[in-house]
Amino acid sequence: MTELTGGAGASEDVAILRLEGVTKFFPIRGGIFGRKVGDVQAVNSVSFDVKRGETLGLVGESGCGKSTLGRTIMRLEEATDGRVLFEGQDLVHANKRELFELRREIQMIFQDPYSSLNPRLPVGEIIREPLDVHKIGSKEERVKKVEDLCLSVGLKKEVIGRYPHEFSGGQRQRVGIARALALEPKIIVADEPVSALDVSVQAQVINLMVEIQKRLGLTYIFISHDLSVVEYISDSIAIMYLGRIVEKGRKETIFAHPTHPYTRALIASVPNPNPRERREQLPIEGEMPSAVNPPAGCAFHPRCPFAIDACKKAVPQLESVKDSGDATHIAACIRKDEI
Amino acid sequence: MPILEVKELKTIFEIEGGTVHAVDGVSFSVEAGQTLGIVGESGCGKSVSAMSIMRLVPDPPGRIVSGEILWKGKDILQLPDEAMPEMRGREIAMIFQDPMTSLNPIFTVEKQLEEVLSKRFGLTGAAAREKSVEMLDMVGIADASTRVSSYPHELSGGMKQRIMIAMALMCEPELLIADEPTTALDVTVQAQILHLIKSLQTRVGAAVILITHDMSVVSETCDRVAVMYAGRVIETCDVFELFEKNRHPYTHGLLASIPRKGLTKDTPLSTIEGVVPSLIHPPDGCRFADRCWKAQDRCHSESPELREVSPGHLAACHFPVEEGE
Repeated sequence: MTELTGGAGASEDVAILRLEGVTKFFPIRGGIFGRKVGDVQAVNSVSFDVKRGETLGLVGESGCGKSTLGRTIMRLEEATDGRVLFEGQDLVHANKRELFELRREIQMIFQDPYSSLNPRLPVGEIIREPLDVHKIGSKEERVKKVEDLCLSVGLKKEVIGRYPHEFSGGQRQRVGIARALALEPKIIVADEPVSALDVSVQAQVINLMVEIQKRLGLTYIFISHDLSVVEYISDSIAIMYLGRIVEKGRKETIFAHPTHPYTRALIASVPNPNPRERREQLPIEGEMPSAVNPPAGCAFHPRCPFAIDACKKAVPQLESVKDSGDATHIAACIRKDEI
Repeated sequence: MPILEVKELKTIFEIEGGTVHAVDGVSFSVEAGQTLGIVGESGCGKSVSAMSIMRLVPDPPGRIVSGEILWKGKDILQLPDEAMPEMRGREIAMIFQDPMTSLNPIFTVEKQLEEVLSKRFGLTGAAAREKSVEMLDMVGIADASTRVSSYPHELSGGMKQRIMIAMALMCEPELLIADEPTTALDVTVQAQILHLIKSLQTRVGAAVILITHDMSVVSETCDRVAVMYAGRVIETCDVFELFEKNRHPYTHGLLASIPRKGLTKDTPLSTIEGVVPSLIHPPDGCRFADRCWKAQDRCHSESPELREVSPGHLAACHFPVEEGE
């Protein structure tokens, strides 16, 4: 097992989570014998570090593999290849008992607060369930803990006996957050946690997540397609396209100096809440192709205005972007330093 | 004269547990060639307003109980049922949020376009096919002559929405109602679809009602805006006024809760505390009063009328937001 030291030495710079070549393919079966005829290459050789206490925004359009990556980190999907190291311990190859312990450290919040809560349980039990499963504290202690958790996410104690259908979307997401916090995890993987909510409620839930992070020193992996939300909440941002990370760096760098042509197009496509700065040009044509037969070479080349012949030949590697002033800034484009 | 004028429209839904006053006295108008945005959060009545214009409110449980919908001066609500199919499509067309369910899964695109073409223009066979390919080409579908033989499941969400737009515009309607047309789509495709709607609008000169929850989409595309809250229009004005000199505290709060460029998590986002009131027993007075930072006693008892606060700018508020507030 690899021990992480983080290189830099300062404890806050140590990666709490390290992904090494994480790959997830889903087999496609066909014919009368159900033979494997191909793969959906949902996540392909993803490597990055997440620093303790930071929020990593994982951004991309539907089908880019960001949710599958989140689920693979949680081991809700078995990785086809690669390692996910939590404080040096590999989740992918952990046995059942090790995984049970590791699950306390990494918890998940889901998009849909309507379907991710068991409708037959009162919310008090929904929040308490992880404590029961992990046999934490006495019965009285667990009841007290549930009350504390409710208060910490802005729910009144009185809600404990009520059922999910009695709650609004925003309140349900608070229940989901309280449940995720029950085991005092170090990392929370949040998969589109505010996408199903109205704007005014969305702001409440984002504020809550930021406040909890500061209070508990949590590390977030925040998966979202909404760039304005990601820009607000993240410290670092990774952009995915067709199963691969195409660019990663500090939030300020990504928005001020997007380098990969896809990142540029993505940021330019976000509608501007200032009617005096309307977009005149269409940022990009076409749609993301299927992950079953991704284009050869750089998967973005068919849509890329800068593509040359060499782009069709080899998959570009993530490399440091020159002169960006951000040592963590990497992009997977062979023309990144000239365009 | 506006091409469409909705006056004091009321649409209700009778459900178990009571009557939902989904649209409760809504008024707005659209000029020819103009884009009106109707914006609001879920349940505010924006989609029901659109369904009412098309007379597509499912009855039961829904019913339009009062008001007028003047289409070029004539009340749509007074038209006989038989006149509606002609009205829908030819004069007013509509596209919906979910292009996945708006196309029939068992027929090819060509078949579905052909149905419209034969009904409206008497085109069949090769002529219909040629026109179909031309339409798909116009809405930016690459390789239209092959794509026309596809089934809906073989197409992406963006392509399906393009086809819905092609169908809607086929009869060159004078008004296109687009209900959250890009909500189910990715941001790069959203930009393409909004661009497409705008360029086609310029080409055929149609007016557009764009229904959305997304203020940034409004900012990119609309000329005028009506903001809805709890079944009512609470503010309506030109798009620049809306973003720069909005007067209703709800509009103000809604715009403030969008994460702005450059804002970091060190500054908490503004929020609107509380929840939307029940539309079964809506409160007396202003429906936003319980959540409003400016509310006074009068707001809880007396319902504010939608009135002009400056030329062309209407707000339903007893104490509109002043500049600098």
